[in-house]
Amino acid sequence: MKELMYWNAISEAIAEEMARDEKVFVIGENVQESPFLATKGLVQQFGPERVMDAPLSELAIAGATVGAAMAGYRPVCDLTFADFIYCAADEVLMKAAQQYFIHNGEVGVPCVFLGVAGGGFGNGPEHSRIPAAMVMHNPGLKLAMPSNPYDAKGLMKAAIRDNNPVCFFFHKKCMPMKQAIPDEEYVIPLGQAEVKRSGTDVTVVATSYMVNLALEAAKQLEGKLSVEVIDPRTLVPLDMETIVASVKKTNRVVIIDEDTECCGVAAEIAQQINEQAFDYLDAPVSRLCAANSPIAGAAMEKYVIPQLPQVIKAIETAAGI
Amino acid sequence: MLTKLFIPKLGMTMEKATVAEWRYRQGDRVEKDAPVLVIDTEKVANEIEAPVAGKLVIVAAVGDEVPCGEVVGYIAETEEEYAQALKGGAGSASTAPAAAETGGGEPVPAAAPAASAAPCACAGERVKISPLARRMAAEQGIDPGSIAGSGPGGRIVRKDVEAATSRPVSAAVPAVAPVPVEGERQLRSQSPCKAAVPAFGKSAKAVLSLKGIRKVISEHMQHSHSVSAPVSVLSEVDMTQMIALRERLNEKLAPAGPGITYTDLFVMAAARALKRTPIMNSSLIGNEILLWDEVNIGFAVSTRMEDGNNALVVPVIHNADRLTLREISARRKDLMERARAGKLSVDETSGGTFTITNTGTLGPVWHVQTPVINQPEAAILGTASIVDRPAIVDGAIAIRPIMPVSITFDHRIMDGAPPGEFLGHLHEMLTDPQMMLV
Repeated sequence: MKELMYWNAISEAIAEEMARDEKVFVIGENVQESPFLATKGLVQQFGPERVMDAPLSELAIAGATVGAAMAGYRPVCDLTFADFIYCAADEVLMKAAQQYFIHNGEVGVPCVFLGVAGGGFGNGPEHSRIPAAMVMHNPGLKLAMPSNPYDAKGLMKAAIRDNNPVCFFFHKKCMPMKQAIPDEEYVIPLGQAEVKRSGTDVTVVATSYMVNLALEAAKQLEGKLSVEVIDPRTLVPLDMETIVASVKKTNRVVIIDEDTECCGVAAEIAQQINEQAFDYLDAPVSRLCAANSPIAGAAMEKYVIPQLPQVIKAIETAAGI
Repeated sequence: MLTKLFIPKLGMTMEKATVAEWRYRQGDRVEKDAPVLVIDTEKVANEIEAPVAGKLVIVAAVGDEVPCGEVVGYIAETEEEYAQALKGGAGSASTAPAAAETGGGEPVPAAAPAASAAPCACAGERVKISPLARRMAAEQGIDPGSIAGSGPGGRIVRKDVEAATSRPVSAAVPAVAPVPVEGERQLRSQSPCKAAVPAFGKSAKAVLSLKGIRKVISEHMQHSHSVSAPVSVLSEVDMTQMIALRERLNEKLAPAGPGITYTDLFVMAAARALKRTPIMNSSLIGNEILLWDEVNIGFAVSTRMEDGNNALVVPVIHNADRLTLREISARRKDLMERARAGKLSVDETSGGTFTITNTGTLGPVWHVQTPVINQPEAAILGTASIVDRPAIVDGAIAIRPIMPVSITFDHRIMDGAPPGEFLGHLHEMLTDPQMMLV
């Protein structure tokens, strides 16, 4: 066992997969320097041909990724900020997501779109989003959002090995997290939620960094409420089985997600709970998301993105107290 | 021709009825206009007459609760139709209307809306209950309407059902604390019994099933106490002037019409006092207190049921504040007679905004009562027997005809001041009747 930082868990996963499969390469803006560290050290290990710095055009980078993937490679495309997926939208949503369908299953696009997501540093409206709902809404893409180093490594390895395009959003606020990582190789299959904490009074389904806030809230509510925290880990595929089993146990659920509320991740999960566990609900499914607002920068950010006190309040409300 | 018998909508708030009695058996020949069926609505029993002659097909069993508009049986004019209806009707009521479409029979009875197999859109409040609680209540066989909700907006949630299932349900045996559920079921499942039934270590000489009007009263009373915060205020009134007034009025009016009763005078005084203290004439519905514009005063009437037990009916004198004493009296008399005959329409027992219960007829024994609020009203006035009692008059002890009065009010809606104010107005009018004119 060794302790790894969140970013280091990601770069280690990419390095292991690059070593394992020569078709795997990295392309992106400044991936050799890697300001967000997810590809740090890779160029020293694998050289500039497999760790390619690209011009500042997300559309071009994503286009090259899709082309290479169709030609048999397994590219990891670093978009830096997840927000920049909007620049690359045509390649990601129209091409990568749909080629397999358009070509009747004969041409796959196995690639990873890597982006650092979420708020916490007051970076403002164009650098703080976590565009999860948009990815979920577009059929053909998978979406992983790890909440800790262990999951980040296991999910990244699964993402690279997957034959579908996978968006991999890692959270800025998780960067300082450190966790013991096994020496032996492990892969976390996409589509397996994890019960991060078990409880009996209320289920919290939290995504990405919100998982950590939910766990902290659950700890503070100890003695007052028994809170179950579920991290879906991947939103596509979504492990509803684990969520529904928990709802059947606690009968109450709140979904906490950092993407903006309207037509969001929480809305989708809530509806699936309604469809699959309606008769087990003792209260309406509730949600806590970012406000329907551009993510404000600097000191105003905390009024848009859910903070710990609101998480605690939301859990208490969902539990009926 | 196959003619359907269905539950007619007899009042604005009527949603369903219980099949109380079939006067004929399956396959019996019934004549046109013969009473074939008795249904219990919330407060009154109604007879349903056969719209045509023919063979009776029974679909709904005695005790079934059926929404208005739904088919409970058919009258078949031919043997083929009888056989066909038995086949279709016995399975489920939902397949029956198709068979009845060809019938084109008259609606039943004449007062009911046009014949329609679809349940009518009945008015009335939906019970707020979580999906889980609804399922649990169904599994336990508990009527959600009898459970008090503790969730947001009065929603019934899991713990309310759990609380309801853990307490003894039987109203017949309230004193027994830990009830073995099995024993209770046994007792409840017995129909009127002949021999003594052993239950809870005692023997019951009769078992009266909780149904019809008794069930409704039982549910209403429990509902009232579970949703409101009742507080009773007790007082008394010197009735000297009221007695004199009533005697004078009856001397003049009695030869021409029915006599004025104390209840009439109380309705009149209360209606005027309610106008002056509007919060007493209100309802708490959801998160809003509605102050009613109309003053509709219900008065409790004790009726005797077929099984020999008394039941309570509360006919309503609508707009009592706008009626003269004579109008109130005539209306009260008519409603009371029809209440005792079981002939009240549902509308005549609904829409009340305040209730008076007069126990003065129980006999000249001094007593006070703490009546239960008739939900969703805000308060209820209880008047009791007028009995000679010692009273202080002009600094000396005198014998005066005294009537205890009590008001139970809902502390959720108001604090102690409005009932006190109301009582003050009432006291003023009853001790000095000319104040009713002011």
